[in-house]
Formats: sequence, structure tokens, C-alpha cells
Amino acid sequence: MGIEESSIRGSAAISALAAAVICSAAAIAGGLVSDRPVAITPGTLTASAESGQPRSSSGPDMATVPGRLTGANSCAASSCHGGGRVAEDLSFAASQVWQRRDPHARAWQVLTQPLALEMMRRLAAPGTEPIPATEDTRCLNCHVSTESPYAEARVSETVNHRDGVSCESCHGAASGWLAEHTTARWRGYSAKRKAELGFIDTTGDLLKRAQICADCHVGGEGKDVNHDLIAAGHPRLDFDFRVFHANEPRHWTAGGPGDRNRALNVELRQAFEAEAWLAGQVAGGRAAARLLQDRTGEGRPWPELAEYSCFSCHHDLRADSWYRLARGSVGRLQWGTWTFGPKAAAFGGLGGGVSELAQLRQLMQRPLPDRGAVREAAQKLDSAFSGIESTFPPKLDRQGLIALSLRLIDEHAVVVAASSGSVADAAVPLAAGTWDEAAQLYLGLHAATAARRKTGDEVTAEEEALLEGLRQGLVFEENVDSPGSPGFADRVREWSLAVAKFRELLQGRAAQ
Amino acid sequence: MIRICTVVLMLIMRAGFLRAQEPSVGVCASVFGGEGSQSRQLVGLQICFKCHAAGPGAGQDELAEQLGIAVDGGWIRGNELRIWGGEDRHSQAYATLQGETAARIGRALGREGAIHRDVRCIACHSAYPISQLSAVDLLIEEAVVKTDLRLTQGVSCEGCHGAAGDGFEGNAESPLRGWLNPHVNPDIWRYLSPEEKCRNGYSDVRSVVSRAKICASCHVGDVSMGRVLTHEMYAAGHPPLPPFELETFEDLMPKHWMEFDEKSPELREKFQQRAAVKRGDAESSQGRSTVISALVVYAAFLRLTADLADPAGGEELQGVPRPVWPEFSQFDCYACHHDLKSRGWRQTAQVSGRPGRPRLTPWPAALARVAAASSGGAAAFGGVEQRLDESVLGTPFGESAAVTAAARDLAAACEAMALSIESTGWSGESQRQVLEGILAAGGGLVKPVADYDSARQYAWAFAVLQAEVAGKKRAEAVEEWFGRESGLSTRSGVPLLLDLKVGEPVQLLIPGATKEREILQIDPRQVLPPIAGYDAVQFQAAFREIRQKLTAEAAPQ
Repeated sequence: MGIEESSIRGSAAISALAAAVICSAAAIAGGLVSDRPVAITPGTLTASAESGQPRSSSGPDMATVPGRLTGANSCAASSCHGGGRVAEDLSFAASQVWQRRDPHARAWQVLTQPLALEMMRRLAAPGTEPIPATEDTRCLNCHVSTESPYAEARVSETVNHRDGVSCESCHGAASGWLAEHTTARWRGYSAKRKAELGFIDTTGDLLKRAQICADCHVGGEGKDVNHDLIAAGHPRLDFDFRVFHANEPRHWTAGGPGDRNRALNVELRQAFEAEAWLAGQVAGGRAAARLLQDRTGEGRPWPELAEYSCFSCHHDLRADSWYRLARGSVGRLQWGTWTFGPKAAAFGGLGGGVSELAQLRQLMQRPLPDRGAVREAAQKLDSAFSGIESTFPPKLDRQGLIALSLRLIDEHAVVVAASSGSVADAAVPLAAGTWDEAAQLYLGLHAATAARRKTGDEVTAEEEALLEGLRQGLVFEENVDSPGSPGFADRVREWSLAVAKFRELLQGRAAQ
Repeated sequence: MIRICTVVLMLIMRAGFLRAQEPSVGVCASVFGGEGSQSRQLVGLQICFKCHAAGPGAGQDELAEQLGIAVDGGWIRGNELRIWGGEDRHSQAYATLQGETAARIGRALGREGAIHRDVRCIACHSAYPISQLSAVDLLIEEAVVKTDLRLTQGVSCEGCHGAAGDGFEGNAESPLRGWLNPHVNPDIWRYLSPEEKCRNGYSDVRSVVSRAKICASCHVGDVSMGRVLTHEMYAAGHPPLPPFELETFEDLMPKHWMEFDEKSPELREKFQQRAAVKRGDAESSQGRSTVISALVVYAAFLRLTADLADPAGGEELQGVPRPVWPEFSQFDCYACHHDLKSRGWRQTAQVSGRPGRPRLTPWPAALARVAAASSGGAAAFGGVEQRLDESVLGTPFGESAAVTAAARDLAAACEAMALSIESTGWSGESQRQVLEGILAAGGGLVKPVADYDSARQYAWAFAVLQAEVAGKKRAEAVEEWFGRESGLSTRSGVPLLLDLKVGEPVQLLIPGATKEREILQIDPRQVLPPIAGYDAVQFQAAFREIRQKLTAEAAPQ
């Protein structure tokens, strides 16, 4: 477990690097990743609960109208989630864990930091005064809990905003269910009944969890980290549910003997690591398809450059450009390289979406994609996710995991060959435009390998070393936030050879 | 005998030339649109050899005497073609299409082994108008390349001076005779007005407006001649087109002509007596040329942008498929093409005021803005420029109809200003104002922040104007202010690439030649690193130091 955990955190470091494209400080402060393993014990929690600052929250309307926020404070009583009964179950300390460890609790606070002020200054129209980020709904819709995304451009501050992204963002606005939730009856309620009251049950549903995360970490209506925001200084959103989930300070039980939901605990499933990765692919893909529809709206920036690989354009011009050599570049932007990087392989095992994705990609890689046609194609892809979701999770045994890994590798080679127009170039799978795809490939392989380990399949030291080599090959050089630096170019061939070797080992395993 | 012939010829020609005279601002229809050398035949440079390829010791015979060829005090140099063929890279323009870089570009564009026959390349790499070439799938036949020297001799005489032959038969618009006929009689030719020459297809190379426009047709681009360097070509490996500053480029070319004030007093006096259009005092000012060319080059860029963005532009340009808008080559290369760094100068400098929205290529506007300010046109210029900015930045890559309209309006404003400066005077005060304007812009005292190419424009223009004020050569001023020992280099660590004659010498057999010759192939390993290493903040500081130094020198002791 120790090794496994540290290697997941290693892969989190890649996400951090990708997020650090613009500003690494913001990636940490903005709560994308935690850079330290979370070690919370009942003892530390009890101690910290005593010294914790009381949170100020007046809580708005507490009437029984469902769908209204009640505020983080309404969950934090010591007999509820405030830590008083932590010995019984970690979830009784959820408020404390969130408040003390979880970056989501500081999501509002980062809007007051120097980078946020600087971003707002850059975003202000020339000659106008910047508005505070804490009043700009482009920021607030993800950086605080809202009942529904604010439609107006600017709102005044409320006390609840200061809670950042709190309990109800993920578990549902509590006005309708809070009272019931505190009674003994609650545990007997059906999932349907709970949902009617506005409660979002995350217990047994990995896909649901991923969808909740993706709503901000990929985006959605009113929640758009577009190219304007990125250029102003916001870190790019490189969502990987499995990595983010592993880094989220755990405020629920990990499936120990005392876990009353043990039967429902998806984290105990053998293929959990691969399922979590797949859940992120599915939820992230659907969120991206919906976000893209939203982005085609009138008055929105178009073409939306955040849809494309950063490194398609953002690379120094070089004489010995491996970028050019590897891709046979024609000067076009590469679309959807992060969110839709490994989709065909992932979806191949699920219920479809492959042709819808190809259609959308074709439209988006034109110099000026047609808004209407893109919206329509994105809608079709969105609809295709219903089929994909209905077959989630697929049955992934040892052989299934090996097959998934092989599909990922082979698809990556195809993606590269298709971009370069030459199959011969497939031997060089890692190019600037495909850093995203390469990172996705690594994350997928890592997940599948971790799941294989749980199924009892032996993962050799050689495989471990190859995976670690892939991770290191993706890390940017010091002081550079792009893969385009000359030293990185030298690693391209090494990387692709490692992938080829890994593939060979997998094929050997598959035959066993 | 010669004298009699001259008189007869003069009479014949006058008859042809007695048409309405146009205002003598030095521009004729063949330069700003209208009929042009595109519809005339090239005669090829072999004919020019007779008079313009003299070697040392020439000038002793009768012809030389008649032409005024002489090392001292001659009207022409007489060795123009030797300069062109020996030092001027225009003579290598076609040959480079057969080099390694071109071959690589050809592979990337799916034209392996055929890039030297592609009319999109020939449009700029040869004097041959592509409208006169027959091509299938944009490729001309290999036989033409092998046999027609006019194609393969690169950007030869007629590329700039205009096709010297007759108009094609059946073309009613075209005058019957080309300029070769009158030209061979210098006693007539020399004193004709530029308009008269133009009517026979000769470009007005005396006018700076016209000269800059001719250069810009390749060095910026011109849709009507099929001269468009697209992003696809760049991505395939075409080296970045450097920014264009007329005086600097002429000096680096180098010049194969003598300026009016370099000619003997006798010849100058004779010219002023006999010429249909006299020389003005201001015509020889290099500072004035720099200012005029800045406006003309910006206008050319804006017209190219408008023609490419125009929603009514059609599917083809001169038989070449029209690039789909947004054509990225019209946008700031280095807005996107830079490795990402947190806290890079681009973010802190607020380059466009609209983060995340690529602006148009900034260098053509850089000097034009200074020129407009110094000629009193700042207000009118600024208004249209703001409209253009809004149309470009309002949505990523701009709204094409609004971009087209604003770009054409601003181009017209620039052309009007350029013509106005050319037709009115140029004073020491004008020169001082422009110098001050360049220093303020380069030093970052006014927006916007200079990118690498704008910085080169400021440095080049500063050197031209400062050299003239100090009575030095341009190259000396470049060395003094921007060379290895200068404040700029020591401060920024990465000097601007100001000498364009850097490259890799390669041996190539130029079509039509019998043996290989050395040509200079642009070396991306030298050209590209300074772009990546450029830091606007350091450049500004260096330029402010120059400004302080000059201010201190100018202050009364």
C-alpha cells in the first residue's frame, strides 16, 4: 500500500506540473492537489478540533425549501461531523478533515491572494478598474458553494462564500434534507427518498463522485476556465479523477472492519484503481462535451483555444524541432488532447461514443470550426455518454486489465501516426502536441497496473521501473512549464522505447 | 549618328507619352494596383548584361561613355549585375528552392521533390509573375524549370523594375511597347518623368512609396500576385520572415545604384535642367525613407490581412487555394510560440490588454505608429487602429468582416500619410521627432510592449536615423549602439539579430549555371534562439539607457 500510494502521488505530481503551466503556486493554493500524504488519526483530530477556529457562518434561509444552502457550519457540530465521535467512524470528523486539510476549504481564500488580484487586473478591459475576484461569478461559480451557478456577472459577497467549496457542493444543498439527516430514520431511507430531498449520495457510486468533481474540475455551464482566464494566470485544468480522488484528504471510512457501508464501498473492489481512472474518463468526457456546447453559445469567445493542446502552439521555435520531425506538422491545432486523449480505448470497452468523438474531432481541428456544427456534434457525443454510463463499470479482471493497457498503448501510436500522416513516425509517440496524450497514457497504464496488482497479478520490478521511467520522462525541466525544452526532446525516443518494452512485457503476460 | 537617332527616337516616344500627366508624387498606377508588369513579358537579364555588367576597367569604350559609366562621377555604376549576382541574395532566391531546407518543406507539404515547381513558392522566389505560368495542381512542368532562365535566375532585374517586354497580344488594356525600347537610350530615358516610365511598365524606383511597396509585395505579401507565406508553410519549415525596414534592407542588399547626391555635380545639374520631374531636396534623406517605408509596409500588411480575412474573398487567389481564415501567419507568432514560463514577461507586460487573444503581427505597426505620430496623423491613425484592435481582440482571431473593413481603412490612412510625407518636405526637426518617438516606443514609455521583431524594427530604424544625424554609415551606428560591446548586448545577454546575412554556406548548382556556387542558406540554429531568448523588459531598459545617453549629450554643457 505504501509503494502504491506514493506512486499515485507521483502521478499527481504530473498533474501538478501540467496545472503549473501558468502558475504552480496557484495550482497548490487553488486546491488542485495536495502535495503531502494525508495522515489523519483520531488522536490528531481530537486535538485539532479543540484548537480549531470557530467558523463564522450565519447560514441563510433554514426553511424547509429544498435546494437552499445551509452552510458548512450546519454540519460541524461535534456530535455530528465535528469530530466528537471520530473513534466510531472517520466520517463523523468530516467537517474537521475538510476544514483543516482539504484545499476545497480554502477555495474562496485564494481569490483574495496576489495572483488573483493580478489576474483580475489583466482581465479588466483596458482603462477600466478591475473588480474583485470575490465578486466575479466567473470565479465564484467554482470557488464557493452555490445553489446553482450565478447567472449575473457580478455579485456581492456573502458570509457563506468564505467557506469556499464546502460540504453541500458535493452532498447537495441541505435545506431539504438536513433535518431528516440528523435523525435515526435517515439510515433507513431509500436512495430515491434521499435524492428527492436533495441529498447526493456518493457512497456506492464512483461515477457519481467523478461527475461531481468534473463539474468544476472540467467545467460546465457558468463554470469555464477558458483561454482568457488561463492567459491571465489561471492554471490549466488537467483533471484525472483517480489522482485527485487519491489526493483528496479522506473524510470518509476507508473500508476498514468497522465500515458500516462496507458492502457498498467501491474502493474495496479489486479493479477499483482502473474503475476510478475510467470513471474520470467518462465523467470528464461528458462534462467536456457539455462545456463545449456551452462554449459555442453566442457572445462566447470562439474558437475557444482552451479546447486545444497548449503545446500545439506554445513551444519555442527551434531549428532541430523534434515537434516538427515527430508530427510532420501542418500548422494545425490539436484538439481535445487531454480530456479526450485516451477515449477510444476507454470507450471501446464501454457502450460507444467512438464515432461521435471522431466526428467532433474532425470539426474541431479546422482552423475556424463551425459553431453550429460543433454544438450539434457535441450534443451527439453528450447523448452517447448515456450508453457509456449504462455499461459502467465494465467487468475488469486480470485479462481485461491487460487488454485495456494494450489498447491504450496501441491507440496512442495510432493517434500519433494519424497526426503525422505517417505510420513510420509511430515509433516516436511523444511529441509536443501529444504531451497531453502521453501523460494520459501514463496515467491510464498506472491505473491498470495498480488494479492488476490487486487482482493478484504479479507486477514485476521491470514493469515498475518502466512506469516510473515514463513518469520521469514527462516531468518538465526546471523553470520551464512546457515540454518543448531541448532536454525534453532528447527523452522522446527513450520514452517511446520504454512504452514499446512495456507493451512487450504485457503481451507476454497476456499469453500466460 | 547617335545624336540623330536620339532625336528621332525621342519624337516617336513623346508621341506615345503625351497623355494626361498625373500629380508628381512619384507613384504610378502600376505600383498601387492597376495595370502592372504582371501582364507584360519578361525579357530576362541577359539583355541587361550588355550595359549593367561591366567589370573593373570598363567605362573606356563609347557605350560606357554614353551611359555615363564611370567609377567616379558616373550616372550609373555599370556593375549592377555583378553586385546583384555576387552579393545580393535576390540572385539566389530561386536556387534556395533546390536546397535542403526547401526539400524538407516540400516533404512536410506533401510536395516531395517538387517544391521548386510549386507556384506558391515561385511567386516570391522568382521574378516570373505566376499568372503567366501554367500549372497543374499548382506545379509547373520540370521542362520549364530546365529551360526558362527567366524563372530560375531568382528575383532578377525585372522582379523589381518591372517586366521590360511588350504586353501580351490580345490584351487591350496593355500598352504595346515595353520599357526596354526607350530605356536603351539613356539620353532620353534618364529625363523622362516617373509617370512616363510607368506607363511602359517600369516601376517607379525613385519614389520611396513605390519602392517600399515593391519590396513589401514579397517581404510582407500581396494577394493579387499570389505572394502569401502561410502558416502551413511556416509550420513546414519556412524560416520566419524578418521584419522589413527599407533603408536597412537596401544597405544589407547591398545597393547596386548610386543615390542622387552621390553623382557628380555636373550630372546632377544637367538632370535638374532637363528632367521632366526635378529632384527635391528631401529626396535623399534616409530618415524620411525609413518613415515612409514604415507606413507603406504597414499598409501592405493590412491589405494582406484584409484580403485574407475578407468574407467575400472567394476560394482562390491567383489560382492558388485561398487559406482558410483565421490565417495564423497574420497573427503575432510569439504570442503563442513560446515555451510557457510562470511569471514570463508576456504576462507581466500585458501585451495586448486582452489576455488569451492573439493580436495581429505587431512589428508592421510598430514603426508606422511612430511615423504617424511624427507626421501629425496620430489622432486619425489611433482612432482606426483602435477599431482594428477591437475587431481583432473582441473574439479570438477577430470577426473577419470587421477586421477586413478596419484593416482597409487603416491601410488607406497609412498610404495617404506616406504620400503626403513624400510630396512635402522633410526637416531636421522631423528627423529629431521620429528619433525621439522610436526611443520612447522602444524604451516602453508608450504602449504596446515591443516583441522581438518590433524591437529589431526600432533598433534598425534608430540606427538609420542616428547615423544620418551623426554623419556616419548605418552599419557603424548598428555596431556602436547594438553591437557586441553595446549596452543592449551586455544587458540582455541575447543580442538582437540585426545582420540578416547570417547563414550556412551551401554549394548549389543554380539552374542555367554550369558549375556550383556558394549560396547562403538561412540557418534556423542562428535565427531562432534569439527569439526564444528575447526579454522585452531587458530590451526596454537598454533602450532607455540609449535615450538617457543621447539626452545627456544633447544637454547644454
